[in-house]
Amino acid sequence: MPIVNLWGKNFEIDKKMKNIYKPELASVTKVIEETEDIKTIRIKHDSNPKPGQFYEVSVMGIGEAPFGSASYSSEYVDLTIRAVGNLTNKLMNVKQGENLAVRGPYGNGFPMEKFKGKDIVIIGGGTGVAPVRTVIEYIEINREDYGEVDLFFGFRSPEEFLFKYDFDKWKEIFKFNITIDKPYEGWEGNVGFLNALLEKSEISPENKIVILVGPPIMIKVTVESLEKMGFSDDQIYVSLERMMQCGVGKCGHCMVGDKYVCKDGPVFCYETVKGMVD
Amino acid sequence: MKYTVSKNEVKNFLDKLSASGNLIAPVRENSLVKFKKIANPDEIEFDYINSKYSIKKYFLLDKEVLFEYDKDSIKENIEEKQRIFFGIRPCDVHSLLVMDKLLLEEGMEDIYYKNKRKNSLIFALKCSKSGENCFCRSLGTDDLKEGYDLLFYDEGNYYIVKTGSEKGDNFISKLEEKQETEDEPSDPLENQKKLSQDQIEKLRESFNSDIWKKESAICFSCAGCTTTCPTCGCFDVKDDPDLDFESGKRIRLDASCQLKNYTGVAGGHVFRDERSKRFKHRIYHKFKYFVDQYGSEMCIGCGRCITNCPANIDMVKILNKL
Ligand code: SF4
Ligand code: SF4
Repeated sequence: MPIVNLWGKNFEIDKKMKNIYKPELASVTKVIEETEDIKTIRIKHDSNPKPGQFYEVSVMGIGEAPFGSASYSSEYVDLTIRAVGNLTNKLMNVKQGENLAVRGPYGNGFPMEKFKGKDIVIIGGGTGVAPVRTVIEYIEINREDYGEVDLFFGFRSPEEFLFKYDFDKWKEIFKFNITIDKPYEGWEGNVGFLNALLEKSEISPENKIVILVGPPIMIKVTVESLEKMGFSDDQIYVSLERMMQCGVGKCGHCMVGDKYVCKDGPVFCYETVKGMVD
Repeated sequence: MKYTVSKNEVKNFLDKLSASGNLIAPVRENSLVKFKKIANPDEIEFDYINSKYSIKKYFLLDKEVLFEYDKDSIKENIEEKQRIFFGIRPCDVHSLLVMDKLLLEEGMEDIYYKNKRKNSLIFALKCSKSGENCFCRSLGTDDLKEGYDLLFYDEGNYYIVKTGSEKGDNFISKLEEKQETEDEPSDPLENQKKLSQDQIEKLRESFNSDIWKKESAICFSCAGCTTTCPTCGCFDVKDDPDLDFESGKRIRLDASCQLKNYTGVAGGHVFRDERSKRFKHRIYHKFKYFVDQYGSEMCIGCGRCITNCPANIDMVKILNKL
C-alpha cells in the first residue's frame, strides 16, 4: 500500500485568490513634466483609491517603491514622482503608451467620511502636495459635505511648483495660499516658510480638521505652529513615511510600535503619532 | 482519538513514508540536529532536545522567488509538493500557528506560504526532556490542542498517538497494531526557565526604562537571534535580473530587525539607528505588539535566540528583571 495516497490530491490553489505580491500591468496614458526632476505619470486604473492611499510601483530589475496617489478618479491614477534614485530615475523615462507594473491601492487613507461637516485646512510642503491633491479632488466632487477649505502650499521656488495647471481652478473654489522659501526674481507672492504663513492667516481652530503632508521637519514645525494657534492634536492628520517593502503588513520594515505604517497608516491622527516611538 | 502504537509499528509506518520521498524529519549531523528529507528511517534522530533551526525555512524560504518577469509579462510559479514532517516539537508547531496569524490573515493571505502550509502534514513529537533554555511551559506551548495531523508521545516502550485531523485519521487507520486508549500521556518536562504573564505585562510600563540601553550594550547586532527564531519572518523584496536585464526574478530574502538598514529610507535616514532601539523592538514585537495585534505572544519559548546568541544575551533573564 503506498501510504501517501491516503493523502488525496495536492491542495489546489484558488485561482481567484489574489497574490498580494504580484503587480498588474497598467498602461500609461499621459506623462506631465511638473518640474525639472518631477513628473506625473497617469496610468489607466479603475481601483479608485481613497485620498491618501498609495501604490507599489515596480521597475523590473530594480524593484518596487510606494507612491501616494495624486488624483481622485475611478478611471486613472496620477503618480507624481521625483527622480531621487535608481528606481525613480528609470520612471522618468516612462512614455505614454508603455506599461507600468503596479499593485494597490494600499493603506487606510484620510477618513473623509469622519470629516464631513468640518472646515478643512490642507497643508502640503514640496512633493507632499501630491498626496493632498487627492483630498482636494475628493472635496471638489463632494463639495457640499465640507465647510470652508483653506489650502496652504509651500515650495522651494516657483520652479518647484506642482500642479500649476490646477491653481486657477483651486483659487476659484478654495482659499488658496502659497509661499516659497526664498525670494525669487519676478515672484510677488509670499516668501518664507509655510508655518509662518499659516500663523499669519490667524485661522481659528474651531470646527476644523488639518491635513498635513510634507517632509518630517516641516511636519514638526507646522504642528508646533498649529498648537500655538490653538489646534489640538486630534484635529491634525498626517501621512507618514517609512521604509516599506511589501506594502501589505507582512515584511515588517515599516512597523513603529504596534502600528504598520503601510496598513494601519500611512494616515494617522497626530494624537496617535505622538505615541508612536521607536 | 488516542491510540497506543508499538515502536516497531511506528518504524514500519515511517518506512513507508520515507519510501514516498516526501518525508522530512530530524537528523543528527555532526552534533547538530536538523530537518532533512529522509530516504531511510534509520537516519531519524528521535532523542534530541530541539533542532538547531526550526522548520521555518520549509515554509518561508531564505530566498523565495515571488515571480518571474520578462519584457511584457509577469509569471508566478506556485507549484508545491506534498510533504510530511515527522518529529516537529510542539513548540515549533505553535510557531507555525503564530505565523499563520500574520501570513494567512483573511483577504491578505501570502499565497506562497499558504500553499506550503496546505501541502504539508504535521506529525509532531512531544519532547521527553527540556533544554537549558526552554520556557515553553510558561507560554503554554509545550503541548498541542491543534495544528497537528498526528501527535506522538514517547511512553518508553510504545507511543501514544493522538489524531488531530481527518488526514491523520486516514493514516492511523492503516496501522495494524494499534489500540484505542483513554490513557493520558506522561508529561516529563521539568527544570525550565520561567516567565510569568505578570512579568510580560510589565513591558507596558518599561518602554522608557534604561534597562534596554544597559542590556543591549553587549549585543553585536548580528541577527543570530532573529535568524534562528521560528516566528521571525521579516523579509526584503529584491529583483534579481538576468544578464539581458529584460527578464529576471523578483525574490524575497530573509531580513532582520536587528540590522541597521532594516529601517533605512531613501536619503539615508535610519529610524532605529540606535542598537538599543532595535534590541527593544524585537522584544516588544514578540511580547507586546503582536499580542495587541493578533492576540498571542510571537514567541513559543524555544530558547533558540538565547542558545544561539554569541553575546549570551538571555531575553528571559532580561524580562524577569523588569
Ligand atoms: S543574537 Fe545576540 S548579539 Fe546577535 S543580534 Fe541577537 S541579541 Fe544581539
Ligand atoms: S524569541 Fe527566542 S525563544 Fe521566542 S520563539 Fe524566537 S527564538 Fe524561540
